[in-house]
Amino acid sequence: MRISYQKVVVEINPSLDHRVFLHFFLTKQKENVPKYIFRHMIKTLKESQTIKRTWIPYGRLISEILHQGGILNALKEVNYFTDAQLGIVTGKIINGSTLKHMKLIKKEDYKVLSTDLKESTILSNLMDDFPPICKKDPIEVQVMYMVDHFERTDQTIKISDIPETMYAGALPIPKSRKSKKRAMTEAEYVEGALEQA
Amino acid sequence: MASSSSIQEIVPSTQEASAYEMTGRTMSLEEWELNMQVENPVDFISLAYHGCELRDIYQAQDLEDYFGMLNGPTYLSLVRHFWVRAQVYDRKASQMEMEEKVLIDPSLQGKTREEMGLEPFRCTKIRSSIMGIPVYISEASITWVIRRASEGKFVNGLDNNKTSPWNDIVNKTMFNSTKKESTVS
Repeated sequence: MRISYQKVVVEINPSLDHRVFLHFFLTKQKENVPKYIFRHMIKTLKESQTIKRTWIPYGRLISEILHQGGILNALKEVNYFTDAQLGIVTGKIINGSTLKHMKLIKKEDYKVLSTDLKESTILSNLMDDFPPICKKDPIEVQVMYMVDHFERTDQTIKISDIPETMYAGALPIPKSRKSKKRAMTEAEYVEGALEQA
Repeated sequence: MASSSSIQEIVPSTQEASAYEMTGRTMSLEEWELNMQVENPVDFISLAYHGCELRDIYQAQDLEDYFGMLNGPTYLSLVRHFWVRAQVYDRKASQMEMEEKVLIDPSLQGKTREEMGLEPFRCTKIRSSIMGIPVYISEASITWVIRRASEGKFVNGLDNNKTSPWNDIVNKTMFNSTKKESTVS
């Protein structure tokens, strides 16, 4: 199958820097990607400070740096954030379905594969060993599991470690850059945090 | 996921700084005014099946681990908290840090950073703090997280003028023409 680009009309007006970046990519000449990312992060931060640019780039990458740098573990120690208060989302996967929505392939040509990636369901990295019980389980089940866990591992599960509800399903996906036309208000921000908590 | 003990030596997040540091806000924007670009994971197999083969391009850049990392949680609240307190710490900022020291204590004039009680300047960083814990992001942090060496070509700051020799090179690669195209049709 070949994608028909004939139908697509794309306005292209990238800067020369961007075009050189793409040139190296397309010609498979190795680029210093970490340096490009870091420079872009710095540029965007300075724009947030000087011209009130409201977009934060690399949300997932910064989250992973915070996690691997030990920040989440440190927050876990002091119980500062709950999982919900972290405001967890995951990015939408780009796949064959995206090509269909872009009308690059016909609807009937799109096929769901058994190998298709699914959006991450990792709730957070706060809890290393997520207990497979929740407060909605019968109290006997909770107690039995806690006793069994202690016998097997010699470690206790604290009541505060048991989540209110069992997590199931994919993480929420944030709206795309195009669809987000206005910024959140303070009231909406606070309301969202309260709902999550 | 690797254990944090080995990472701590490489990711400069809490080292080289006091154990507790409360960084003030560095911008007038509030957390709720900020939107976040959450990177899209890419299913290269699905794309290839549907006629869009991109794997070889990204493999040539050693970015397999980067794309593998993208399918995971993003902490909106935490990153916003980090961002509104972040500042760029570069050579210029480190110089200003020394000048401030001298203003407070003129006898430090002409002394080295170490003699002023300051950490040596090693590299440019984005400095911030989360709940009083200092957090630094540098090029090395990104290198570590995406498991990809900081090496290769880097071209930045080109003028967008039409006389640049780069124009013909990139237009040839992107459009198979030495003239810049405005549309792909």
